[in-house]
Amino acid sequence: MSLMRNISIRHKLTAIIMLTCAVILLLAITVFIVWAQINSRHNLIRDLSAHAAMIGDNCKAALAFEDAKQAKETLSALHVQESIVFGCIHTPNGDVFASYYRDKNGTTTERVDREVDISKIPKDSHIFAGGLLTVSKGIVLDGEIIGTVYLQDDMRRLHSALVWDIVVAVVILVSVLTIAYVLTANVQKLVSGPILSLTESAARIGKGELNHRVKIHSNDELGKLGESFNDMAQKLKESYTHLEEKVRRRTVELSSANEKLETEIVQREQAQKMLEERIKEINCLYSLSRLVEQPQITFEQILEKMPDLIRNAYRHAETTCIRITFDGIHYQTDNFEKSELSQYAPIKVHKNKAGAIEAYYIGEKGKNGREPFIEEEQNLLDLVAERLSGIAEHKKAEDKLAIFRNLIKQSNDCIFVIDPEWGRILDVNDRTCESLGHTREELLKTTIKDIDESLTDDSSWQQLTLKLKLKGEIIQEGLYKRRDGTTFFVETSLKLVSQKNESYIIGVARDTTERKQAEERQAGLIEQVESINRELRDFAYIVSHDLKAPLRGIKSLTQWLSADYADKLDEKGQEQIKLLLSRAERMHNLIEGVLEYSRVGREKENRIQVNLTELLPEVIDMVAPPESIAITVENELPTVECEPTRIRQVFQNLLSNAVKYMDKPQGLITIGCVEDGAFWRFSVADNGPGIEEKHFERIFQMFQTLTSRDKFESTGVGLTVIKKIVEMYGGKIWVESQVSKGSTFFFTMPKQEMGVNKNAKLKADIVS
Amino acid sequence: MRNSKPILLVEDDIVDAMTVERALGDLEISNQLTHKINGEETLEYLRSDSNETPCVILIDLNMPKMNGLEFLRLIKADETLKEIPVIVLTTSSEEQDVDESFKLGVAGYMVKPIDYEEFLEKIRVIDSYCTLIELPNRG
Repeated sequence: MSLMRNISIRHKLTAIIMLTCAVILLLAITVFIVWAQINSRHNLIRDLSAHAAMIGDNCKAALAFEDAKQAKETLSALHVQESIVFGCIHTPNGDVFASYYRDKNGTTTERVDREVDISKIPKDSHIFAGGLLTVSKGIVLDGEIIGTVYLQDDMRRLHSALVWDIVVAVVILVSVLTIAYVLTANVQKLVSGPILSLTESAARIGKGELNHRVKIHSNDELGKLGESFNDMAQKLKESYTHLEEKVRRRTVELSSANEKLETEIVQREQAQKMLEERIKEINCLYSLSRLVEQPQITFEQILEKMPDLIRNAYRHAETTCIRITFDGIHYQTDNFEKSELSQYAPIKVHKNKAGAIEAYYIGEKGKNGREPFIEEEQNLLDLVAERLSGIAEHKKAEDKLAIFRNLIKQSNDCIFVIDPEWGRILDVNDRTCESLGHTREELLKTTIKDIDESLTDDSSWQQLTLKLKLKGEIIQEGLYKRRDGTTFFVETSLKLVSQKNESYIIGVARDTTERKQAEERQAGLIEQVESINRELRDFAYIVSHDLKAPLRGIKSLTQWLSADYADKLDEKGQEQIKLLLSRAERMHNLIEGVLEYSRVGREKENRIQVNLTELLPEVIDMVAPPESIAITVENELPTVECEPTRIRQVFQNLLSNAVKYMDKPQGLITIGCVEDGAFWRFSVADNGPGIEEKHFERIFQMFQTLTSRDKFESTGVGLTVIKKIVEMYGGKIWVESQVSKGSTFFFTMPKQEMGVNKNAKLKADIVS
Repeated sequence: MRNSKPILLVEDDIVDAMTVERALGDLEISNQLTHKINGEETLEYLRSDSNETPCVILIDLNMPKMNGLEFLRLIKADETLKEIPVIVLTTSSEEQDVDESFKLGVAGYMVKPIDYEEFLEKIRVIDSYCTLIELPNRG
């Protein structure tokens, strides 16, 4: 095939056509020859079989009579047929009855040698063997096989026919191929011509002759191919032209890009340098930040370290020196000296100048007269100054905070923060640790429930938090448990605060053990005082009581004396008995007064709401003023909470005094009441003799009377009793008066029951 | 008095006792007056079978050894003695004493007046009371 590849298309066409013709012819001839041979064979077999049958028929009589000679003669007739080389007749038992041979020269001879053992050939069949065709044919007479005819043909007709066939075939082959070649040589020019021309054109175009065009010879596929080729060449030319233009343009672009790139590289390098400068600055600021973050560092330590850090950020660090001044103190680099070239940035604290940063250039003046310092360095100075200002402000604030924190830390009260959900202790001050005997770490692992004795179960804790949520703040007394199990009294203030969406309870607890003890001491003292008071009261009561008995005895006996011995006493005696009785009476009144006074505060009555508007008419009835004296109630009186007997006593005593001392023919007594803050202020005014101002205090003291008892029988206890009652209720009593015009007694009562006002009561008791 | 049983006076003050005696005389009350000077002695007297049960006991509260209230408490706890009407005759006008006495089932409470005439009046009332009111009579 490689051979095919290299030869021209013209030869290829010729070869293909020739080869095709040859193959077809050969095939046809071969088929023809084979067919002819097969046919010839069939004919041969048929002819030979016919001959054998004929011979068999002719020999029947000879066989029947066993006349071998006759048979031989019959067989010799075979010599007419040259190709039959042998014939014989066998008897049924296989013996040769008669035979015929023909040698190569055509002479009839006896059989010499035969390659085929004819006895083995079955009856009525044929076999090709040893270049001979052998046919057998049974001789049948009256339905009985009487012998067999064998004929052999040397197939010379067959062979000669084959030779002839081949010769004819070769002659035809040669003739046909010759004609085919001649035809091909002419016809192939129609196809290969344009192809060759196309090939040549393609070669030329391929060499660069883009203007060359293929000549179109026909309208067939080749013509189309030529057109396409021309189109292609045209397109090729166009794209080539376009490509050339593009390349030219691209080249221009490339060179400009190249230029740009070079410029950029230069710029990049500059930027890199600047970046390095910036990195220095950033490094300086970063170092500052790192310094500030150090937990224990002081502002002074920062200021000490800053000058070197700033200097390192300068382009000309070697020839630059830095000085920071703050609060009048200088912090500077080792090489510090002043020069003309400098930069400056002020440090301000809360808008007031507190210091400055200065930078000086101490090297030789730069080349080309350029400034050694650049704007960025000034910016850095400003930034550092600003940062230092911030730090200074922050430090100041921190100092303040530290003072405040110290205040909490060192506070004499336990201050702690707890979480409102579980009561976990989140933070404590030192005092809390001290008081509870725990370390801070221990406390941070516990809850308030472990410490506060009143919060031992969850429900009490929940109640507390609920109360806190409602009120925001609770102040309560409680008992805290120390680590050793002992307890101490506290007064705790709990406050719920929110910070950054989280709630905390801030607790302040004060150890009130001492106060409690003081309170207990005080309570003890009060108890003591009360007991002394009680004794005093009892003493007053007993004494009064015991005094009354003999007094009554004296009186009774005196009366009996006066009755039983009236006839024995003269007038003077009678007068003296009378005086004795009146003195005994007065003494009795005095004792009753003391008893009454001691009864106030000793005898307890339930405090109830007393409507004074209803009470007063009863009191006035009891006082039973004479018709010359009018008692009026000026306005509606309030309802006060008190012991009814006592308030009755107050009004009764005041009214009876006013009635008793009334010196005017038309007595006017007025009862009034006005509001006075948290108190009611009652007044009982009369138009009686009045009291001199110097006696205003005296009249409220026991047994003090302003008139002779012989003139006005009075114990001098009434006002003292009133004063005691009023003061017991937390009120006051006083008098305003003008001599001969009248007096007004005022007293106040609290609107609301003030509870057990121990101190007021105590005071009242002590006075008694 | 309606019956002739004795009146039992428990009084430590001799003048007061005299006053009662005089008043009984002045009012012509013929019942015998038995005078005891304290609670202890009175109880002893009452518990002795030889003594006649009094028709009324007049008792002072303020007495030595056993005061009136203590005596009342004991006598009222005693099944045989608690029926005897007791009238307190005392100098004390303290409400507390009044309350306490009535709680202990006294038949009356009287504050001794300083004036004899008034005293007479009170004894007269006691007499009327004992005459008009049905009292347990155990012979």
